[in-house]
Amino acid sequence: MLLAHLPVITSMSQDLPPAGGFPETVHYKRYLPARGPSGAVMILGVLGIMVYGWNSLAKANAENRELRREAAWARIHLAPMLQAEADRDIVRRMQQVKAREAEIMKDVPDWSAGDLKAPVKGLGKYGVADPSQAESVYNTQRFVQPSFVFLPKEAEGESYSVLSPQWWRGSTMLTKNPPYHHREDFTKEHPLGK
Amino acid sequence: MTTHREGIFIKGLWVEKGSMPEEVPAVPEVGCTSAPLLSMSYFFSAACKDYSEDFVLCKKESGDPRHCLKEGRRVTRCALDLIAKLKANCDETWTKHWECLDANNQRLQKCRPQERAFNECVFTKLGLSKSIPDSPEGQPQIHLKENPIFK
Repeated sequence: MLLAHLPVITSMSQDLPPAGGFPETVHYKRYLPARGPSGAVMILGVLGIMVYGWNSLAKANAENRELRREAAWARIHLAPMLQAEADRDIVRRMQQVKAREAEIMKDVPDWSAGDLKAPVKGLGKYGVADPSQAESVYNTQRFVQPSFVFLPKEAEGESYSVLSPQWWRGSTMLTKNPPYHHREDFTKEHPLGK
Repeated sequence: MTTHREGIFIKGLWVEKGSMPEEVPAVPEVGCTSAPLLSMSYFFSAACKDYSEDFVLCKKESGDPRHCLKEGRRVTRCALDLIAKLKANCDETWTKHWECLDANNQRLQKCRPQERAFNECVFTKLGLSKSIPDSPEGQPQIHLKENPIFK
Protein backbone atom coordinates (compact mmCIF):
# COMPACT_ATOMS: atom_id res chain seq x y z
CA MET A 1 0.00 0.00 0.00
CA LEU A 2 1.14 3.57 -0.63
CA LEU A 3 0.31 5.01 2.85
CA ALA A 4 1.84 2.22 4.79
CA HIS A 5 4.90 4.26 5.87
CA LEU A 6 2.83 7.15 7.58
CA PRO A 7 2.28 7.13 11.39
CA VAL A 8 -1.18 6.22 12.46
CA ILE A 9 -2.90 9.05 14.58
CA THR A 10 -4.97 7.61 17.30
CA SER A 11 -5.98 10.80 19.32
CA MET A 12 -5.88 14.73 18.81
CA SER A 13 -5.26 17.30 21.58
CA GLN A 14 -6.92 20.77 20.75
CA ASP A 15 -5.36 24.13 21.88
CA LEU A 16 -7.74 25.46 24.55
CA PRO A 17 -7.73 28.14 27.35
CA PRO A 18 -6.51 26.90 30.67
CA ALA A 19 -9.04 25.29 32.88
CA GLY A 20 -10.86 28.01 34.94
CA GLY A 21 -10.22 30.71 32.34
CA PHE A 22 -7.36 33.18 31.78
CA PRO A 23 -6.06 35.10 34.80
CA GLU A 24 -7.35 38.68 35.35
CA THR A 25 -3.89 40.20 34.77
CA VAL A 26 -4.08 39.77 31.00
CA HIS A 27 -5.58 43.02 29.50
CA TYR A 28 -7.17 42.03 26.29
CA LYS A 29 -9.86 44.77 26.12
CA ARG A 30 -9.22 48.06 24.16
CA TYR A 31 -8.19 50.92 26.44
CA LEU A 32 -8.49 54.30 24.60
CA PRO A 33 -9.11 57.20 26.99
CA ALA A 34 -10.88 60.31 25.45
CA ARG A 35 -8.24 62.92 24.57
CA GLY A 36 -9.07 66.50 23.50
CA PRO A 37 -12.47 67.73 22.34
CA SER A 38 -14.93 65.30 20.94
CA GLY A 39 -15.54 64.85 17.26
CA ALA A 40 -18.86 66.66 17.38
CA VAL A 41 -17.22 69.68 19.01
CA MET A 42 -14.45 69.70 16.43
CA ILE A 43 -16.90 69.48 13.53
CA LEU A 44 -18.96 72.29 15.02
CA GLY A 45 -15.79 74.34 15.60
CA VAL A 46 -14.60 73.91 12.03
CA LEU A 47 -18.07 74.74 10.82
CA GLY A 48 -18.03 77.90 12.94
CA ILE A 49 -14.67 78.98 11.54
CA MET A 50 -15.91 78.34 8.02
CA VAL A 51 -19.12 80.31 8.55
CA TYR A 52 -17.15 83.23 9.97
CA GLY A 53 -14.64 83.15 7.11
CA TRP A 54 -17.18 82.88 4.34
CA ASN A 55 -19.25 85.61 5.94
CA SER A 56 -16.22 87.91 6.09
CA LEU A 57 -15.41 87.14 2.48
CA ALA A 58 -18.96 87.88 1.37
CA LYS A 59 -18.93 91.19 3.23
CA ALA A 60 -15.56 92.16 1.76
CA ASN A 61 -16.73 91.24 -1.73
CA ALA A 62 -19.87 93.33 -1.31
CA GLU A 63 -17.82 96.30 -0.13
CA ASN A 64 -15.31 95.87 -2.93
CA ARG A 65 -18.16 95.80 -5.42
CA GLU A 66 -19.52 99.04 -4.01
CA LEU A 67 -16.10 100.69 -4.22
CA ARG A 68 -15.78 99.68 -7.85
CA ARG A 69 -19.28 100.95 -8.58
CA GLU A 70 -18.41 104.24 -6.91
CA ALA A 71 -15.31 104.68 -9.08
CA ALA A 72 -17.20 103.63 -12.22
CA TRP A 73 -20.02 106.11 -11.61
CA ALA A 74 -17.51 108.89 -10.93
CA ARG A 75 -16.12 108.28 -14.40
CA ILE A 76 -19.56 107.96 -15.99
CA HIS A 77 -20.60 111.32 -14.54
CA LEU A 78 -17.52 112.97 -16.07
CA ALA A 79 -18.03 111.42 -19.51
CA PRO A 80 -20.19 114.20 -21.08
CA MET A 81 -17.71 116.88 -20.07
CA LEU A 82 -14.71 114.96 -21.44
CA GLN A 83 -16.61 114.04 -24.59
CA ALA A 84 -17.55 117.68 -25.20
CA GLU A 85 -13.91 118.73 -25.04
CA ALA A 86 -12.77 115.88 -27.26
CA ASP A 87 -15.48 116.72 -29.82
CA ARG A 88 -14.40 120.34 -30.03
CA ASP A 89 -10.80 119.24 -30.55
CA ILE A 90 -11.61 116.76 -33.31
CA VAL A 91 -13.88 119.27 -35.07
CA ARG A 92 -11.08 121.84 -35.04
CA ARG A 93 -8.56 119.32 -36.38
CA MET A 94 -10.81 117.99 -39.12
CA GLN A 95 -11.59 121.54 -40.23
CA GLN A 96 -7.89 122.18 -40.75
CA VAL A 97 -7.46 118.86 -42.56
CA LYS A 98 -10.40 119.73 -44.80
CA ALA A 99 -8.95 123.17 -45.61
CA ARG A 100 -5.62 121.61 -46.55
CA GLU A 101 -7.29 118.97 -48.69
CA ALA A 102 -9.38 121.61 -50.47
CA GLU A 103 -6.21 123.57 -51.22
CA ILE A 104 -4.46 120.51 -52.67
CA MET A 105 -7.48 119.37 -54.72
CA LYS A 106 -8.64 122.82 -55.89
CA ASP A 107 -8.03 121.96 -59.56
CA VAL A 108 -10.13 118.81 -59.48
CA PRO A 109 -13.74 119.58 -60.37
CA ASP A 110 -16.55 118.22 -58.18
CA TRP A 111 -14.21 117.30 -55.36
CA SER A 112 -15.80 117.68 -51.96
CA ALA A 113 -12.97 117.97 -49.48
CA GLY A 114 -13.12 116.18 -46.15
CA ASP A 115 -16.24 114.25 -47.11
CA LEU A 116 -15.83 110.51 -46.76
CA LYS A 117 -19.39 109.85 -47.89
CA ALA A 118 -19.08 111.86 -51.10
CA PRO A 119 -20.43 110.02 -54.15
CA VAL A 120 -17.74 108.35 -56.23
CA LYS A 121 -18.08 108.71 -59.97
CA GLY A 122 -18.31 105.33 -61.71
CA LEU A 123 -19.52 103.47 -58.65
CA GLY A 124 -23.09 102.34 -59.08
CA LYS A 125 -25.70 100.88 -56.76
CA TYR A 126 -24.83 97.51 -55.20
CA GLY A 127 -21.18 98.06 -56.02
CA VAL A 128 -21.45 97.74 -59.79
CA ALA A 129 -19.01 99.64 -62.00
CA ASP A 130 -21.12 102.06 -64.01
CA PRO A 131 -19.76 105.32 -65.42
CA SER A 132 -23.22 106.88 -65.44
CA GLN A 133 -23.77 106.44 -61.71
CA ALA A 134 -22.20 108.01 -58.63
CA GLU A 135 -22.71 106.41 -55.22
CA SER A 136 -21.03 106.73 -51.86
CA VAL A 137 -18.76 103.89 -50.78
CA TYR A 138 -20.56 103.86 -47.42
CA ASN A 139 -24.03 102.39 -47.29
CA THR A 140 -25.02 104.09 -44.04
CA GLN A 141 -26.92 107.11 -42.80
CA ARG A 142 -24.63 107.44 -39.78
CA PHE A 143 -21.57 109.64 -39.38
CA VAL A 144 -18.33 108.00 -40.50
CA GLN A 145 -15.28 108.88 -38.46
CA PRO A 146 -12.17 109.11 -40.61
CA SER A 147 -9.56 106.51 -39.72
CA PHE A 148 -6.71 108.09 -41.66
CA VAL A 149 -5.52 111.66 -41.90
CA PHE A 150 -3.18 112.82 -44.62
CA LEU A 151 -0.50 115.21 -43.44
CA PRO A 152 1.60 116.67 -46.23
CA LYS A 153 5.31 116.89 -45.69
CA GLU A 154 6.06 119.31 -42.92
CA ALA A 155 7.13 122.73 -44.16
CA GLU A 156 7.92 126.14 -42.74
CA GLY A 157 4.85 128.20 -41.94
CA GLU A 158 2.52 125.20 -42.17
CA SER A 159 -0.55 125.21 -40.00
CA TYR A 160 0.39 121.95 -38.32
CA SER A 161 3.52 120.33 -36.99
CA VAL A 162 4.58 116.95 -35.74
CA LEU A 163 5.95 116.92 -32.25
CA SER A 164 9.10 114.90 -31.69
CA PRO A 165 8.41 111.37 -30.48
CA GLN A 166 10.63 112.26 -27.55
CA TRP A 167 7.58 114.08 -26.18
CA TRP A 168 5.57 110.91 -25.70
CA ARG A 169 8.09 108.13 -25.91
CA GLY A 170 9.87 109.41 -22.84
CA SER A 171 13.21 107.78 -23.47
CA THR A 172 16.04 109.34 -25.42
CA MET A 173 17.71 106.01 -26.01
CA LEU A 174 16.31 105.27 -29.47
CA THR A 175 16.63 108.86 -30.71
CA LYS A 176 20.15 109.49 -29.46
CA ASN A 177 21.57 106.00 -29.89
CA PRO A 178 19.51 104.35 -32.61
CA PRO A 179 20.13 100.80 -33.81
CA TYR A 180 22.87 100.73 -36.48
CA HIS A 181 20.45 100.05 -39.34
CA HIS A 182 18.56 103.26 -38.48
CA ARG A 183 21.63 105.46 -38.51
CA GLU A 184 22.28 108.04 -41.16
CA ASP A 185 25.57 106.58 -42.32
CA PHE A 186 24.25 103.03 -42.65
CA THR A 187 24.98 101.37 -46.01
CA LYS A 188 25.02 97.75 -47.05
CA GLU A 189 28.71 97.92 -47.84
CA HIS A 190 29.58 99.60 -44.56
CA PRO A 191 26.90 98.55 -42.05
CA LEU A 192 28.75 100.07 -39.12
CA GLY A 193 29.54 103.35 -40.88
CA LYS A 194 32.82 104.38 -42.39
CA MET B 1 -14.44 105.62 -24.58
CA THR B 2 -15.07 109.29 -24.29
CA THR B 3 -12.16 110.60 -26.28
CA HIS B 4 -11.45 110.07 -29.92
CA ARG B 5 -8.47 107.97 -30.81
CA GLU B 6 -5.14 109.74 -30.54
CA GLY B 7 -3.43 110.00 -33.88
CA ILE B 8 -0.64 107.47 -34.14
CA PHE B 9 2.31 108.81 -36.04
CA ILE B 10 5.68 107.14 -36.22
CA LYS B 11 7.44 110.47 -36.41
CA GLY B 12 5.70 112.10 -33.48
CA LEU B 13 2.48 113.75 -32.32
CA TRP B 14 0.20 115.66 -34.67
CA VAL B 15 -0.03 119.23 -33.44
CA GLU B 16 -2.70 121.32 -35.14
CA LYS B 17 -2.03 125.02 -34.80
CA GLY B 18 -5.18 126.40 -36.37
CA SER B 19 -8.05 127.48 -34.15
CA MET B 20 -11.80 126.95 -34.36
CA PRO B 21 -13.66 129.01 -36.98
CA GLU B 22 -14.82 132.45 -35.94
CA GLU B 23 -18.52 131.66 -35.94
CA VAL B 24 -18.13 129.02 -33.23
CA PRO B 25 -18.27 130.71 -29.81
CA ALA B 26 -15.07 130.26 -27.86
CA VAL B 27 -15.15 128.31 -24.63
CA PRO B 28 -12.10 127.57 -22.50
CA GLU B 29 -11.00 124.08 -21.62
CA VAL B 30 -11.77 122.79 -18.14
CA GLY B 31 -8.07 122.34 -17.51
CA CYS B 32 -8.25 120.15 -14.39
CA THR B 33 -6.21 117.00 -14.05
CA SER B 34 -7.87 113.70 -13.28
CA ALA B 35 -7.68 113.86 -9.48
CA PRO B 36 -9.65 117.12 -9.01
CA LEU B 37 -12.14 115.90 -11.61
CA LEU B 38 -12.60 112.60 -9.80
CA SER B 39 -12.97 114.48 -6.54
CA MET B 40 -15.74 116.74 -7.85
CA SER B 41 -17.34 114.18 -10.18
CA TYR B 42 -20.46 113.49 -8.12
CA PHE B 43 -21.06 117.20 -7.51
CA PHE B 44 -20.65 117.86 -11.21
CA SER B 45 -23.34 115.30 -11.94
CA ALA B 46 -25.61 116.88 -9.35
CA ALA B 47 -25.01 120.46 -10.50
CA CYS B 48 -24.97 119.94 -14.29
CA LYS B 49 -27.39 117.07 -14.67
CA ASP B 50 -29.69 118.85 -17.14
CA TYR B 51 -26.89 119.96 -19.45
CA SER B 52 -25.15 116.57 -19.33
CA GLU B 53 -28.33 114.69 -20.12
CA ASP B 54 -29.07 117.10 -22.97
CA PHE B 55 -25.63 116.49 -24.37
CA VAL B 56 -25.86 112.71 -24.07
CA LEU B 57 -29.26 112.66 -25.76
CA CYS B 58 -27.85 114.83 -28.53
CA LYS B 59 -24.90 112.46 -28.94
CA LYS B 60 -27.34 109.62 -29.24
CA GLU B 61 -28.97 111.35 -32.17
CA SER B 62 -25.79 111.51 -34.20
CA GLY B 63 -22.18 110.42 -33.82
CA ASP B 64 -20.99 113.45 -35.74
CA PRO B 65 -18.84 115.59 -33.42
CA ARG B 66 -20.14 118.73 -35.13
CA HIS B 67 -23.72 117.86 -34.22
CA CYS B 68 -23.50 118.57 -30.46
CA LEU B 69 -21.07 121.48 -30.22
CA LYS B 70 -23.67 123.78 -28.68
CA GLU B 71 -24.73 121.28 -26.02
CA GLY B 72 -21.09 120.47 -25.36
CA ARG B 73 -20.28 124.13 -24.75
CA ARG B 74 -23.10 124.30 -22.24
CA VAL B 75 -21.70 121.28 -20.39
CA THR B 76 -18.24 122.80 -20.32
CA ARG B 77 -19.52 126.18 -19.14
CA CYS B 78 -21.48 124.50 -16.37
CA ALA B 79 -18.37 122.57 -15.32
CA LEU B 80 -16.30 125.75 -15.33
CA ASP B 81 -18.94 127.50 -13.25
CA LEU B 82 -18.94 124.66 -10.73
CA ILE B 83 -15.15 124.64 -10.54
CA ALA B 84 -15.13 128.39 -9.92
CA LYS B 85 -17.70 127.95 -7.16
CA LEU B 86 -15.72 125.13 -5.55
CA LYS B 87 -12.57 127.21 -5.73
CA ALA B 88 -14.34 130.12 -4.11
CA ASN B 89 -16.04 128.17 -1.33
CA CYS B 90 -14.22 124.90 -0.59
CA ASP B 91 -10.78 125.42 -2.02
CA GLU B 92 -8.92 124.10 1.01
CA THR B 93 -10.91 120.91 1.56
CA TRP B 94 -11.07 120.22 -2.17
CA THR B 95 -7.31 120.60 -2.55
CA LYS B 96 -6.70 118.32 0.42
CA HIS B 97 -8.97 115.65 -1.02
CA TRP B 98 -7.58 115.60 -4.54
CA GLU B 99 -4.00 115.75 -3.33
CA CYS B 100 -4.77 112.71 -1.18
CA LEU B 101 -6.28 110.98 -4.23
CA ASP B 102 -3.19 111.82 -6.24
CA ALA B 103 -0.98 110.33 -3.55
CA ASN B 104 -3.08 107.15 -3.23
CA ASN B 105 -3.44 106.00 -6.82
CA GLN B 106 -6.87 107.69 -6.97
CA ARG B 107 -8.46 105.12 -4.68
CA LEU B 108 -11.43 106.82 -3.09
CA GLN B 109 -11.44 104.50 -0.05
CA LYS B 110 -8.00 105.81 0.95
CA CYS B 111 -9.21 109.40 1.39
CA ARG B 112 -12.46 109.14 3.35
CA PRO B 113 -11.63 111.69 6.09
CA GLN B 114 -10.69 114.34 3.50
CA GLU B 115 -13.70 113.42 1.40
CA ARG B 116 -16.02 113.77 4.38
CA ALA B 117 -14.73 117.29 5.06
CA PHE B 118 -15.04 118.24 1.39
CA ASN B 119 -18.54 116.78 1.04
CA GLU B 120 -19.69 118.58 4.15
CA CYS B 121 -18.27 121.87 2.92
CA VAL B 122 -19.92 121.51 -0.49
CA PHE B 123 -23.22 120.58 1.11
CA THR B 124 -23.26 123.55 3.47
CA LYS B 125 -21.99 126.10 0.94
CA LEU B 126 -23.46 124.92 -2.36
CA GLY B 127 -26.19 122.52 -1.29
CA LEU B 128 -24.88 119.64 -3.41
CA SER B 129 -24.61 116.14 -2.02
CA LYS B 130 -22.98 112.99 -3.27
CA SER B 131 -25.21 110.02 -3.99
CA ILE B 132 -24.14 106.90 -5.85
CA PRO B 133 -26.85 105.60 -8.18
CA ASP B 134 -28.30 102.11 -7.61
CA SER B 135 -26.73 101.66 -4.18
CA PRO B 136 -28.09 98.70 -2.21
CA GLU B 137 -31.09 99.68 -0.12
CA GLY B 138 -31.21 99.57 3.65
CA GLN B 139 -27.54 100.29 4.22
CA PRO B 140 -25.39 103.42 4.11
CA GLN B 141 -23.67 104.31 0.87
CA ILE B 142 -20.10 103.18 0.62
CA HIS B 143 -18.59 106.64 1.26
CA LEU B 144 -20.69 106.95 4.45
CA LYS B 145 -19.90 103.48 5.85
CA GLU B 146 -18.81 103.59 9.50
CA ASN B 147 -16.25 100.78 9.68
CA PRO B 148 -15.16 99.93 6.17
CA ILE B 149 -13.08 96.81 5.55
CA PHE B 150 -10.98 98.47 2.87
CA LYS B 151 -9.42 101.74 3.96
